Amino acid sequence: MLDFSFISLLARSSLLSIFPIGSRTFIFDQIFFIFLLLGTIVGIVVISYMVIQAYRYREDSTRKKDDIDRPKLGELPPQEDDGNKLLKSLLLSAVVVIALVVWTYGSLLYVEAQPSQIDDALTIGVEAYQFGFLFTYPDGYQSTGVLRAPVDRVTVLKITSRDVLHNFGSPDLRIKADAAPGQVSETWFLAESTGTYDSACYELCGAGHSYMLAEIIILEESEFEQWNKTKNNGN
Amino acid sequence: MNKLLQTDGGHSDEHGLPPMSSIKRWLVTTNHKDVGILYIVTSLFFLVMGGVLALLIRLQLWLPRAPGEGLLSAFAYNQSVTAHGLIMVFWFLSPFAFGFANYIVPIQIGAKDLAFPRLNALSYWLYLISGILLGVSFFQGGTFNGGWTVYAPLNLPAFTPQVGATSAILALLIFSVAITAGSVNFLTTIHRMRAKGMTLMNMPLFTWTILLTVWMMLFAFAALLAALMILSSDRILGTTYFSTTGTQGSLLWTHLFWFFGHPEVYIVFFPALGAMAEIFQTFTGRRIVGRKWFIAALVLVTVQSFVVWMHHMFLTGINLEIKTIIMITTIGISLPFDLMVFSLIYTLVKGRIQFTTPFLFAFGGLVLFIIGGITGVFLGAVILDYEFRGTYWVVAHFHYVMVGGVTGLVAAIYYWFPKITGRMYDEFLGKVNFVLYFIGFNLLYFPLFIAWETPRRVFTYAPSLIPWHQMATIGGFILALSFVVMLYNFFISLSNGEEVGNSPWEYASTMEWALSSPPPLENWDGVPTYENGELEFIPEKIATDGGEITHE
Repeated sequence: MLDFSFISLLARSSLLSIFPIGSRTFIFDQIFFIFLLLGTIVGIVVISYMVIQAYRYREDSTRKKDDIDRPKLGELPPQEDDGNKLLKSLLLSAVVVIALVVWTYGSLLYVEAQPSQIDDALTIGVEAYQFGFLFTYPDGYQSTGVLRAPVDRVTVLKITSRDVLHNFGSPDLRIKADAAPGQVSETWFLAESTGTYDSACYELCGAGHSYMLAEIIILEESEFEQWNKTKNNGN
Repeated sequence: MNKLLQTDGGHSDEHGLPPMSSIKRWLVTTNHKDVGILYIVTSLFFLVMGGVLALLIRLQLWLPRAPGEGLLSAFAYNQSVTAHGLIMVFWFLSPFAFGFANYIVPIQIGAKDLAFPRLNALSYWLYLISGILLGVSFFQGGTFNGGWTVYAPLNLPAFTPQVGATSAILALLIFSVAITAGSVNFLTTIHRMRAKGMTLMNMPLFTWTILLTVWMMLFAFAALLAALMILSSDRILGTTYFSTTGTQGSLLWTHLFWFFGHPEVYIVFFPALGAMAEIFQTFTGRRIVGRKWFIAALVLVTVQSFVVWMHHMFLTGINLEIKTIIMITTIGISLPFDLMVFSLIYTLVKGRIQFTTPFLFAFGGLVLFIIGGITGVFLGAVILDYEFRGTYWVVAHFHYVMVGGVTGLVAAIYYWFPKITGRMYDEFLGKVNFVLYFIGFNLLYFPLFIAWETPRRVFTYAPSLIPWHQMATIGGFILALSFVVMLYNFFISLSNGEEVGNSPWEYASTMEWALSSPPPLENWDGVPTYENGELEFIPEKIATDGGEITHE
C-alpha cells in the first residue's frame, strides 16, 4: 500500500494549498472553471490551426505546381520520418494535461480525507431502494424522501442499497456516491447556505428511476437542533 | 508503379457462385468482399434501428415529463436507452467498421481472402442472428431495460424478469462468439498472409488499426463472453453469481464489464482512426507525419486500454490508492492520442488538399474527436469525475468520441464507395450530407455539455434546461436527415454514378486502388508482391516455381 498520509497532511495545511479546498461546491467550481478556461483555449487554438492549415494548403488551380514528393500508387511508405515536431507538440500537451491533473490531485486527497478528520460531523445513513431514499439519523430516527442537515457543518453520508445499484447525488451540494447492495460508501458535504436542494438517483435502476428523488433541507444550526429534538415526537 | 501488371477488370470467373443480383449468392458466399458488403448493409439497418430509438428518446426529452406523459412509458424509455446503446455500440459501430475490414484489409495486404472464409461467413451469420434475436426481444414482454452496461444486480430476473431481457443477453452472447471467431480470422490473415515485402511496419494504417482492434477484441470480448455466460447461467439455470444476497455481485459484474468496456471504446474507434489516416494522406497528398510514432502510439493505446477500466468506477468501491493508479494510467492513455491528433494535423501542412466528401468527413471527425478528447480530460481528473458521474457530461463526451468515430467511418464509406461499387457517388449530395451532418451533430451533442447537470437516463430535468434539450432534439432530427441524404446518394449513385477506373483518387497509394473497381472475385491475377520496394503482380507460375522474376 502506498502511504498518502504525508500528502494529505499537505493538503490540509492552508499555507501550502495552491489547490482549492473548502466545501465541495467551492472545490468543484474552482477546478471546473480552470479546466473549462484552458480546455476552451486549447480547443480554439488547435481547431483554428487545423482549419487555417487546411485552407492554406487547399488544392487550387492558381497554385503553382510544387516539387514536393507526393504519395504514389503501389509505393511502400518511406522509412525516413520526421517525428521531431510531433514529439515537441506531444511534450507540450503532456505538460499541460499532467500539470492540470496533478493540481487537482491535492483537492482529491482533501475530499477523500475529510470525513475522518471532522469531530463534530453529523453522520447520516442513506439507504437507496427501488425507488427512493431512506435516511437514518444517529439516534435511529428514519425518514424517507427528505434529508435535513445543518448549515456550515460537515455532514457525512454512509450510503448503501437495499436492492440494485443506485447512486445518490445532489448537483448543488456536489454530492455523488454509488449505493451498492452489501457495501457502504462514504462521502460528505458542507452546505454554505440554508434552503432546499434537490437530490436524485444517478444510476439507472428500474422503471421508477426518473422519479427517484429526495429533498435536502438545510437549516440554521439552531433550527436543526430544534427539529432534531422534536422529530421523534411529531412523527 | 511501372512494371505493374494491371489486373483484368472484366474478369468473369465467379467460381460457380450465383451472380450478385441473385439472393442465393448472398446466402452461400464466403468471399471476403461479399461478406464485407453484407456487414455494411446489415449494420446500416441497425444504424436506422438504433437511430429511431435515439429519436424517440430525444422526443421524450423535448420537455421534462411527469410519469406516463410523452410518447414513452417509463418502462419503454428504459428499454429505448438500453437498446439504443447496445445496438449502436455492438450491432452498428463495430460491424460497420468490419464491413470495411472484410473488404479492404485483404486487398491492402495482398491476401486472396481471409484465412478462414467459411468461419468469416459464420461470423457474419451469427452477427445477423444475434441482431434479429435482439429485435425479437422487444416483443417478448420487453427487451432488457437496465442500461447498456447491464449492471448487476439489476440484470437478474428478480429485477428484469422479462423473457425479452434474457433474449437480449443471449443475443449479446451470440454476438460475442461471432466477434471472437472474427478476431481469430483477422489475426491469422494479417499476421500470416501478407504479400512479400509487406512487413508489419509497411502495412497501411487502416490495416494496422484493424490488426490492433482484433487483438483488443480477442482479450476484451473474452471477458465479456465469460461475464455473459455467468449471467446467462444466473438467468436461465438459476445460479446466483450476481445474486442480490451476495455482497459483491454488483462489483464483480462492474469489473468484468469494464475490463471489456474500456477497450471496447478503442475497438469501435480505431478502425475510424485508421480510415481517417488513409483519407488524410490521400486527399492532402502527403504521407502521414511521423508514421512510426503514429504506429507506436496505436500499439501503446492497445496495451494501455486494458489497465484503465476502473476509471468507470471511481465511485464504485475502490480505494484511494487504486484510484490514483488508474488516474495515472488514464492520463497516460490520453497522450498517445494527442500524438496521433498532432500527426494528422501536421499532415495537412504542405499538402494539396482536395475537399472531397470523404476528406470533409475525416476532417470533421477529427475536429469532433478533439472536442471529445478535451472534455474527456475533465473526466480524468477524479475530483471532477465524481460530479460528472451519471450526468449528461458523460453522455455528451462519449457521443463526441463515439459518433466522432462514426464520422470517420462515414468518411470511409464515401472513400471506398467507388472501389466497392465501381461507381462515383454524387459529390454535391455528399457535401450537402456533410453540412447537414456537421450542423446536426453539434446541435445535438454540444447543448448536452451546457445542460450537463441533467442526470442520465431520466426524462425529468430542471425546467431551466428545456431550451438546450429542445435544441438537441432538433439537432437529432437534422443528423438523422443527413443519413437519409447519404443513403439516397448511394442509392442513386449505384445506377447513375459515373463509372470509375482503378482509382478515382490522385494520391491514393495502397494496394486496393491498383485493382479494378470492384475487384474481381479473387482480386488479382498472379501474386502481388512488394519485394522490390513497390507493388508488382507477378505471374502465379513464376512465383510458385520460386524462380527469378525477370524485369525487362
